[in-house]
Amino acid sequence: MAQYGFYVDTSKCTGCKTCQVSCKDDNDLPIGVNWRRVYEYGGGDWVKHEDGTYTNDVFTYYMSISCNHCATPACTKACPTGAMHKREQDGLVVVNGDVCVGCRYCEMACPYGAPQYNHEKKHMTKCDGCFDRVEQGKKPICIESCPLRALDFGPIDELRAKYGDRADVAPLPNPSLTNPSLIIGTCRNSRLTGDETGKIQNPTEVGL
Amino acid sequence: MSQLSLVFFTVLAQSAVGLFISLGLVQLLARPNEKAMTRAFMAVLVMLGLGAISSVTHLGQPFRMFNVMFGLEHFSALSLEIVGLSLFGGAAGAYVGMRMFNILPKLQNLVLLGGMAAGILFILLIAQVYTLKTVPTWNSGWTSFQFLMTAFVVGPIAAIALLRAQAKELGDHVVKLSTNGLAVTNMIALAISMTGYVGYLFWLGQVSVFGNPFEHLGYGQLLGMLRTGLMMFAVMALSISTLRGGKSPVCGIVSLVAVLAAEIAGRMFFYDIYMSASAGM
Repeated sequence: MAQYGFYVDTSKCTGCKTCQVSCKDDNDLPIGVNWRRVYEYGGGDWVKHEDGTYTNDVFTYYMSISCNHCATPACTKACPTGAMHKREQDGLVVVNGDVCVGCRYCEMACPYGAPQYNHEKKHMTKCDGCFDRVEQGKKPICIESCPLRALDFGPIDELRAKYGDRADVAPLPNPSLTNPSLIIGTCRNSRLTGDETGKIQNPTEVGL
Repeated sequence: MSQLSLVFFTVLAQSAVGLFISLGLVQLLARPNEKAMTRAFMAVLVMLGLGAISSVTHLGQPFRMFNVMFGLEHFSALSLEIVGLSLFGGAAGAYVGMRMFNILPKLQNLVLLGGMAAGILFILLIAQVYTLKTVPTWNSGWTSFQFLMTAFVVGPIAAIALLRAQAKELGDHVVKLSTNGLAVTNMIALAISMTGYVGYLFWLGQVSVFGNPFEHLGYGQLLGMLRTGLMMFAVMALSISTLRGGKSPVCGIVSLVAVLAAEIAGRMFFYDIYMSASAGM
């Protein structure tokens, strides 16, 4: 089975959120539903010295995450209807909106916040990897709209050959849980999964 | 709180199982009057029915609810939970029907025992839904423990309340014998539940997750205290009253309401403590 996936270069991302907005626009998503979210992860502190000067060790970086179309998705395993399924032809995880009952169990199970409940449609929705665009030989809208060229998409084997195989960067969970088709390019501030020195700085914006 | 309907579903469904088992033991051990017991058993179906309706209100598309059977193909925990619900509901319904129309009297005890076992299985299947490796704050045996204890704490109280309310038909001797047994069982259940709760909260403080779960909750402490206080009150008040020969149905109903409120507070805490394996994505 082919498996498509994403590459996110956190050393290039400036947190402009064009990817998030272009996705929202292209898929006509209502308020509160964001198939792609840019998490601002940061931490650190200021220390006052004896001579009255200050130094700081604050850090931050941006993590643009949609759905990682995991090799062993928690959402499809949880789904009681089979509406949440993995496509044979490209490994993309999509929801069949005509079957979904809207129980939101996939939302509980996914550690990446990918499945999102649409209050207007009353069923789950999520990033579908823009499979319609991919079938036409284009890349997903988020990739093509990124002004920093920080995102990439393609067969995960090819991406891994090009960018490596790292997805254990905070605030992401341990990749062994769901085997995400995701590669993270690190930056000088990167903290590894399990880090406790930082936290997500824009919780309201990403829908927490 | 978007899971409020699930709070009611899980508490009522588990309480229904507890009530069925409590009444089942009374039926098997004390052999009481037929009609009054049949009415008491019907309360199980009412409780379970209310729980089931509550769970359906959680769905975005309630008219597609039968789609949840498709997930059996890949053993979705939620589909299996519904199978558990159907097995228990089916057995309990069949048992009440057999009693009402006096069908195959010799087989009734077998159906009763089957229903009790299906009830336990159902609770374990509910717990399985929440035992997700991507949710560290739920992923432990404490989830099954809490769900089972809801049945064992609420069940006997509901049974005592029902037996007291029908004391005239059942006869004083049977009511005294059964409610005394249920009261002692209930106090033991309270001791286990409360000791376990301390263990659970201790475990929760140690669990490997991105922040302290207790800091994550605004009113969690209040819910915990509410649960403990109401549950102690409900069990102690009714047990002591029963063992001292009390017969007032009102006391039974007050205790039942208090213990249900305690379990609802505890379950709200449980859903609020949801923390995924990521750093809060």
